[in-house]
Amino acid sequence: MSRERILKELEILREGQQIAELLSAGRDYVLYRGIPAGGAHPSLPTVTDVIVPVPNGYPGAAIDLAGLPVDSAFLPRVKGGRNSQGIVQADGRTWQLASYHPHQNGGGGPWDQMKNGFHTYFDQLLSWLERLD
Amino acid sequence: MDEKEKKEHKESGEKAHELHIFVNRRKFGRGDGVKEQMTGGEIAALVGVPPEAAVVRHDSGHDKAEIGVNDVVHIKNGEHFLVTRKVVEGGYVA
Repeated sequence: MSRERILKELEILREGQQIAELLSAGRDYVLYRGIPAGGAHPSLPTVTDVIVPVPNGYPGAAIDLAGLPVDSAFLPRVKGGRNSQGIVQADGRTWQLASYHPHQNGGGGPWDQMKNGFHTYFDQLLSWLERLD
Repeated sequence: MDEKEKKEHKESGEKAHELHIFVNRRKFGRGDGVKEQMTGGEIAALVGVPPEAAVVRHDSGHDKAEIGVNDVVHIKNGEHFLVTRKVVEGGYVA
């Protein structure tokens, strides 16, 4: 895992006013704060936090999965949200990882470590949080 | 402020005013293809989403209106846009 690389990727988002932090909670995670969400669903919050595990071997290994707080109204509605991939404790909250695999035939194109990273994974999270069931 | 500092200050000010937009919270400038007028499809292309698969929206305050891929947008410097995919899959690994 290249910590320096991840911090640079998160700095790219910070310039665009998107806060994302690298956390160590047993393993490493990136926590994106306040991602626009919900699309046209008026009953849902307009933003949510999302946690994403840093894969072993990153950046050679593709970023995969996405997690929401266990009590999130989005969890039953996002693609893969009902298929838990594990529970995570981080940032003082409990998160459930969803079965979302954008770079493994999930619609986000093949992983390319030369152009993809946690800054571009934000694109995948935006789509995930907008195309709800 | 000496002459060198003045020059640096001027250059830094000019850089800040160079035409740029933010798409999905990432900054893009003229070198990436940003221009004064762009279609929704051209904005989507900045983040690698083909026009037929893209939903483009403003990302500024209350203005979240959708922009058609053929609609022309008069770009305001520093404007924010969101681009998402029409189709999202979940729940499996290849």
